[in-house]
Amino acid sequence: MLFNRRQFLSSVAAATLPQFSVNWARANAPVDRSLVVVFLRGGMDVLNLLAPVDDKAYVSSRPLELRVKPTGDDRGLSLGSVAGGTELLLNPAAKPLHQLWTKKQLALIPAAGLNNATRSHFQAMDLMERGVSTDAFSLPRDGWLTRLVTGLGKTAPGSTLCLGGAMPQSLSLCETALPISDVWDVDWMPSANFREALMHMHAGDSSLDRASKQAIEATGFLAGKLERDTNRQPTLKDLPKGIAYPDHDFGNKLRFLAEMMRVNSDIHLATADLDGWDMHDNQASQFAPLAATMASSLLAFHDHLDAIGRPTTIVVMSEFGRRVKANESGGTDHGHGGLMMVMGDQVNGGQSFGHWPGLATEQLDEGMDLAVTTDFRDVLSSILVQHGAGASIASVFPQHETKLIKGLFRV
Amino acid sequence: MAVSSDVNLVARAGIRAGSADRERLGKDGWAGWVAAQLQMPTGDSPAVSAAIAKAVLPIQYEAGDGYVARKEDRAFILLRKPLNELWHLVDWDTKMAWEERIRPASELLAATVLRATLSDAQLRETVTDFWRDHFAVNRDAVEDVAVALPTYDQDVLRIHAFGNFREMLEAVATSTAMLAYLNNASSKASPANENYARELLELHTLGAPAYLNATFDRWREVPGALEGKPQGYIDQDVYEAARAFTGWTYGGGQYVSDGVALPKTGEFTYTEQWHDPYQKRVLGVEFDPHTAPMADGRKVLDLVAFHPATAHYVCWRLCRRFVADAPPADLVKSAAQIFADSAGAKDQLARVMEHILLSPEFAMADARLQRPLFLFASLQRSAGVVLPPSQENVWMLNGMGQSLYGWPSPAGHPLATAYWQSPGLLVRRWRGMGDIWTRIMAREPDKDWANIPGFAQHWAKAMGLDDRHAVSSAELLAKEYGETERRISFVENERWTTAQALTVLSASPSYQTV
Repeated sequence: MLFNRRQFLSSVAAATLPQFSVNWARANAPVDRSLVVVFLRGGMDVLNLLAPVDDKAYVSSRPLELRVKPTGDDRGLSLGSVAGGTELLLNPAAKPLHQLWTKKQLALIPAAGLNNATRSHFQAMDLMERGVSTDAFSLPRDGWLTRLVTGLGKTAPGSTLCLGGAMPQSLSLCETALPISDVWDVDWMPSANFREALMHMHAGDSSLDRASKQAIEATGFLAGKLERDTNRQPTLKDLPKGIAYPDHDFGNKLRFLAEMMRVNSDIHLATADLDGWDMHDNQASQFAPLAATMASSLLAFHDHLDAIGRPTTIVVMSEFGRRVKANESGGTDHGHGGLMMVMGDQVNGGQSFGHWPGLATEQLDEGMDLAVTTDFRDVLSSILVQHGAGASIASVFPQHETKLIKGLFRV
Repeated sequence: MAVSSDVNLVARAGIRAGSADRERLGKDGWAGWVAAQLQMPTGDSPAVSAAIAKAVLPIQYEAGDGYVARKEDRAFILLRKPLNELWHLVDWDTKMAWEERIRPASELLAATVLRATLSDAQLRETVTDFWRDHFAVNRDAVEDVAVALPTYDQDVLRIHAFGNFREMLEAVATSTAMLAYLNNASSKASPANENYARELLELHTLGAPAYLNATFDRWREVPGALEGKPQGYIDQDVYEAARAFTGWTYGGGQYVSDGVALPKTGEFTYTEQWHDPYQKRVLGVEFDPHTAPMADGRKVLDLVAFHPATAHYVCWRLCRRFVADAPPADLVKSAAQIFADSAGAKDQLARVMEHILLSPEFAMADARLQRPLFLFASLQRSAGVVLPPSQENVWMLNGMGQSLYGWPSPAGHPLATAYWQSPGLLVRRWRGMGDIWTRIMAREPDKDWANIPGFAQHWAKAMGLDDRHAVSSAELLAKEYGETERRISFVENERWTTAQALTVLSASPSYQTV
């Protein structure tokens, strides 16, 4: 049966009310595990990464260069049986993901996403990062991670990081998150007297004063933990053997994050973005390099955290997948169903979860896009349970009837 | 909340009052200042022209395949060249360094900093900056955008900043920068490339609040659609609008048919062979098949430019930028009324801006953080110094959160204060100010100050701050030096410390917010 959006919305609306407030005192004790949320901005074309290569609808919708290839030197990598019997092959540009899959450290949730008809980047990101699926006035405006952080009381300086100068919407209105990109964003204070004078300038309680104090205190706290060379300059510890990040901004940021997580065990949450997936045009020359950067960065990051003994769950998401049928510009337009990936030491990897809806026209959302069969919040809720934050789910994802994904984690 | 002084209103709307502004304010008051700003010519003022004429912007690169290494100071020679004279820079058969290819963008960005610092037409600088985000293009997306930036900034945004919205919209739709960035240049029948059409509706005109796709599946369900006046739009409108713009492209040597290719000029051209000629329906209005060249696209531009949701959305954004994060509803409404009533006027946008700036809501608004470009300009204006153009200036602004023509999505920089004052960007702001003051101090002539409070008071006054703000920086210096009655002279090893003191002084919320 084809999923009907309107029915879904009305069923959710009917099943809402009592979840909205939550007694935080009942929330589980703080957890040691860290969560890293990676957002692929622009709408990652899942069908160019992971696809049923022999599906007739797939073959007829796209030129070969926008498909995962069935044959030849650069044919798709086999993942075994994926998505309830449908075999999906992985784009070889993302070979590092295959390694994680083979070692059972990566779980795939194809056809996951947002149950809303929007095909707007900004609305889809806004809804997903607020942890909601409609624009209803009654729903909260802050980010889902903001509610998670404040609900758990994990507000110590420097315990929530965003990689990049700006705050993602998932942490909007969070006053304790710190956006940083490199050691110089942390180790910047010219002198103790400067710090004191700057604090004095921001002695008030305006939002600017509060943000300033948070910046000064959180970076100061983290700076005290940085590894330093003989000249007292901040430095990153050498990478463990066998781990190599690609020379790319995204890889550099993840490496920096892993280092911060090594020196500061309080970091329980971090976000990182990889831009550039909005490929309306000339996709053939753009997709493989970006997929390779994404995959090799994630592999290095995963193995790095493993090597330094930092228990972490990494979840990767995007605002939507892209249109099944390519356009005449050699690209793809905004679609619907996407892909979520979960990796980490406790993940029941080497498996996919959720139902593959198929690519025949009548199986598609609005006759043109991969349908959503797993609500993104169900994946995130399953992670929260694993992190001992199951009691937070009702307030982090209000007005959503959670269906936990069975078996996503091993233990 | 209090009514701000005229000097503060200038800082909120424009940059910071220089001495000429203070003189005019004394004579004509705030309303006179606004009227004068709206009348200023669209070209560079003599001070800006003179500075650009004698400025140099260094260029440096290593040798590569087919070109030698270069390191030189080079004048701004591409800024005023027509696009067809720059287009050889994206000829991939000619080998050259990437720095040469994107040099038009480098010159434009450096000139933008100079203009903000020196221009008397401050309001045109800040309003043009608004349109840079409203009609955002990203110079890093593809080199074609970088090469087209000078004409985009001058001939599309700056020239229409106080003009007519419908005219600006068509200038944007036919601009090489936008055609390249949102890919309409490669959009052909069929399926068309939806990128531009979608952002036209969502970002440039009706706006996200009018996107009703989650509520309605079919165009005729949208209230008002059957009368040709739908309240908003859905994806079906996006698909149809995308068809209307097929064939709007620019000459980049593209293959059209056997023996026919588009010229390599970089200039707009309509390519009939790529156009989807059949009947369409956009926003409840029928389009006949086989209309005249560009008629379909122009009809879409008419429909969106004159839609009531556009008047509201554009004015809401202007009020959000210039008045408050949550703009007063009455002000947005009255501005939208003027926007709609003057839709045919040459000075439509000037009328809207005048209404917003002279409103009591503007005068009563809470001060918010100044954007990095205008903070940088303000610091130079306060110090009476113009720092030489450099790539580093632009990188510093990127670090502080303002990436001129470099925001990674077509939404442009967020308007909300929460973005600009995230703790991460505040750290970058303080680091950037430390760098700016260090460079300003390096240019200060040697001078002895009798004591530290005297030094701090002098600079507080230059920044328009009162004495109490000087205390923090004076105390910082006193502690660093271990004494108060110390003479300060600008010898090498003291410039850095004094720059830190001035960074603290200018970090005062009174200076940072306008």
